[in-house]
This record gives sequence, structure tokens and C-alpha cells, in this order.
Amino acid sequence: MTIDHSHYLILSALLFTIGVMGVLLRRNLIIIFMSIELMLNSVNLALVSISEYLQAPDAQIFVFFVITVAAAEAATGLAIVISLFRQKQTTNIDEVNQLKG
Amino acid sequence: MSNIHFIFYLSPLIILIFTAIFVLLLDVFIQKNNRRLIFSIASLGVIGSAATSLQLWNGDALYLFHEAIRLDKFSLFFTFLSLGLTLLTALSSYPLLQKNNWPLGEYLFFLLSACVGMSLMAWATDLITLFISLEIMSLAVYILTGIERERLTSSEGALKYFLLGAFSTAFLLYGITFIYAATGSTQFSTIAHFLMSSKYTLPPTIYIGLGLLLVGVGFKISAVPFHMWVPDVYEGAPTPITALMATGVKAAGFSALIRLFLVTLSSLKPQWGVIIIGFSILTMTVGNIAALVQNNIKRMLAYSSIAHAGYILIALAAAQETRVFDLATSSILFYLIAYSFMTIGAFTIVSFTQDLNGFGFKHPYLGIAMTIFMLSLIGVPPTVGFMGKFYIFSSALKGGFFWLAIIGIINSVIASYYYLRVLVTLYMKKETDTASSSLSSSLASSLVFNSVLWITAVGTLLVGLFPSSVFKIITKSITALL
Repeated sequence: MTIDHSHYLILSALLFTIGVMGVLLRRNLIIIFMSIELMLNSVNLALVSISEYLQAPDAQIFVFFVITVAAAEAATGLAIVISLFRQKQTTNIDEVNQLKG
Repeated sequence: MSNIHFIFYLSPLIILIFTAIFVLLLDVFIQKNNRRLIFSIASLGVIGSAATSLQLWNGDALYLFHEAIRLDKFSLFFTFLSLGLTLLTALSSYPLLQKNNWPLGEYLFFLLSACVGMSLMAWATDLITLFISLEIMSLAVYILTGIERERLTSSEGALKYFLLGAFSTAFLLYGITFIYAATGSTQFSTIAHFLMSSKYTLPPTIYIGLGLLLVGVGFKISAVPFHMWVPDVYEGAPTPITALMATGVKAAGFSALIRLFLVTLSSLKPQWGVIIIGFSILTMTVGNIAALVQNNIKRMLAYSSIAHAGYILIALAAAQETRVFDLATSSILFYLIAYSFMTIGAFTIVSFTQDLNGFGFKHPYLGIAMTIFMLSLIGVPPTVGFMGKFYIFSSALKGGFFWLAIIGIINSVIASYYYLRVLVTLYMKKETDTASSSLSSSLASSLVFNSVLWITAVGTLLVGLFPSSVFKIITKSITALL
């Protein structure tokens, strides 16, 4: 069996789904955070393989932007998690319930 | 774009970016008590940016950077809107900045960055630029939400906003990937051309992409069922930032929806049209019914902002009929202006005090201002809220969406209950003795604070009385769109 583009796309869809499930089911902030990164990186995988399939470089350029944004998002997200952790020594999302809803 | 001209065309954004960085650095290097200087520089930057946008207003529409962004009256309209909102937000937070000892340099830096992102979102004509501008805006607003580090609810709101925002961004990105896979391009014009001229049946991937894009943007404009974060985040965020989120972020989301769905993906109208109608009905109804039972004014305004997004979605749904496209799209822009005036005003009062019992007699002028905003949010005739609703419902009726218009009108009747309840609290409840009364009276005499209220209250009435001149400008920016 040869590995072609559809396999990459299926892998990317699987990774994205795992990411979504991680966000929805896990209760630890850091794990949720990692799941979101997994979703972004599965998009990167899909973009690169489509770009290769179409023989057009646009999407590969896009990947660099996505990586940059993901880095900025990681910095912002961790900062917010830390500022919350300083006040409430927990990383469990269920204990972050000051606001009702 | 081989020459230097692009600097001229981009000047509104360049000025904003440089002011933002300058303000951030200045805050480090000068003494802490010199807050007024930093604040004035930031305001001057916003005003300078508005002045250069005004210079560009009469120019022709043109693409820049290989169709990555487009400079036309539509993008300039949203630039003006976000500049105005940023200035009003900055002004209304000035007394709070002094009182609460927030980090001024960072605050203004992120406020201006958010403004750049909001403006750029209306300029974007490429999926890459759209994504980048959305992230510039979102990241700045996440941090602004959590800027009060000593208050737990502020951090909690920031966390919830960040997690759900990043989650929705991933959906948006995946949607972009599918659209790219189906059409082979990220440029709006190429995508539109491909969809229009494609002889074959479109691959199903494009519909998946469409759905995922709607999820991503739906989060930003807080459409039901993607509204779960709204009440918590709006309650947790500092009140001026809540006002910016309810107006600016939402306006930017709608600018992207107009450019992306109404213009670029217009050949897929039969598919997204139905979804938008469903969104609109759900958003109005859920927003209004949930607002009825709220006791916290910030949460009530959060749900009301969801409901107002639903009204705007009526116009977006109506715009799929080509014959009412101009009227419906103009009514979206008009409603955004209207909503901005009344919401910034209402939140400014709320940032003053959240305890409104007997407030109308204690501070008569502020009470009158709040009454104007609430009447405008209900949609009572001489105010801008009425004209906004009038344009939206008439475009729905002319487009043949009778049921949608009727549901919208029923919803605005339901909504009047909780807005009137605020008026009852203002004038008919006994005032509670609070320790912070001396603090609020010092705020009440603050010049900056009052100027925001004056601008928004006069704007609410004036644009409501003379809507046609504003509507003319809006029509111009809509015709530049195509």
C-alpha cells in the first residue's frame, strides 16, 4: 500500500477529532490547551498535503502564519492560565466557577 | 506594488501600530505619575489614523499586496467605526485606569492592537489576511479581558474567552483548509470566480468548509448555539472592554461575514442562506428569553447583545435576495452604528456603578442618559435603535422574509420587558446605601467620563432623528463592495 494524499487528510481529520474530544472531555486546563494546539497542527498537516496535491505553494505559506499565530496563542494562553493559577491554586476547569454559567 | 505608495494607502493602520508600540515603550521609560501624557498620545494616534482614513475616503477602490487586502469605502467605513469605538472605550476607561491602577501602557497597547485587528478584518480579501487580522484582534481582547489581575472573575473570564476563542479559531482554520482544498486558492476574488464559473458539481468539501467557517465566525459574533461564553466573559471582563467586545468585535465579525459570505461565497447562497435564517431565529429568541431572567445588569446586557446579533442576522439573511442586497447590507452597517452608540453608553453607565437602585434621582443627568440608551435598545421612535430596527425589518419584508420579520418584531416586544425593568430600577426603587458613593461622585464629575456619555447620548438621538445623511454614507460604502 502506498501512502497518498488522502491518507494525510484522514490522519489530519483524526487528529482534529482527537483535539476536539480532548477539549470537550478533559478537565485539566493544560490538557485542554494541548488539545487546541493539536487541532491547529492537524490543520497544518492538511494544508501542507493539499498544497502538495495542488502543486501550489499558497497553503505552505499559510502554514507559517498558522505556526506563528499558534505560538502567540500559546504565550497568551499560558499567561492567562498562570494569572488564574496565582489566585486559585488549581488547573481543573470545573473548579473555575466563580461566574455562573 | 513596487513603489512606496502602499505606505500612503496603509497609513491608518501604520499610524495605529506605531502609536501602540510607542505608548508601550513610553510607559516603561517615563515616570509612573505621568499617565495623562501617555493617554493623550494614544488618543492622538487614533485621531491621526482617522484623519488619514478621511484622506483616503475619496480615492478609488484598489487591491494591495496581490489582493491580500482591499482598500475601499467599505473597509474605511469599518476603520472609522473601530477607531471611534476604540477612542470611546479608551475615554470611558480613563477614570477607571486611574482608580484601579491598571497597567496603562499595556492596556492602551492592546486596545490599539485590537483596533488594528478589527479594522484589518474589514480590509481582508484573502483567507490568510482574514485569519491573521482575526487573531490580532482576538489575542488582544483575550488579554484585555484579563487585565485586572487581582480580580478572580477577570482572569476567569479571560480564560473562558481564550479557550473557547482558540477552539473556534481552530474550526475557522479547518474551514479555510476545506475551502482552499475545493477551490485551490485563498484569494476571495479567485474563490468567487471559481464558484461562479465552475462547470462541474462542487465537491462536498466546500460545504464542510462553509459549515466550519460559520462555526468560527459564529463564535465571534456570538450567534446561538455558539454563545455559551458570552455572559460569563462579558460579566468577568472590565466593563469598558465588555463594551468593546459587544460592539467592536461583533462589528468586525459582521464585516468579515459580509465580505466572505455575501460577496465571495454568494454562489452558495442556497446553502448558507437557510443556516443564517436558523441562526438568526435562534439567536434572537434565546438571547431575549435568557435576558428576561437575569438579575445582574452586565449579564442582562450580554444576553441582550446576543439578541441584537440576531436582529442583524435577519438583515444578513435578507441580503441573499439580490434585489434587496443594497438595502439589507446597508441596514447591517446602520444597525452596527446604532448598536455601538447605545451599548457603549449603557456600559459606560454600568462601569460607573452596577447598583442602579434609585440611581436616576441620585445622578439625574446620568439617569436621563441611561433612559435614552434603554429606550434606544428597545427601539422607541426618536432614537437610533428604532431606525436601525426599521431598516432591518423593512429589508426583510421587501426581500420576502415575512416570518423572519414577524419573529423579529415579537422578539423586540419581549425585549422591552427587561429594558423597562432597568428603568423601573432607576426611578422606582429605593437607593441602597453603599460605601462607594463618594467614589462614584468623584467619577460623576470626571470630564472624560461625561464626554463619553454626551457623545453617545447625543449620537443616539441625532442619528435617530436624521438617519438619512448617515445612510447615504453607508450606501456609498456598500456600492464600493462589489
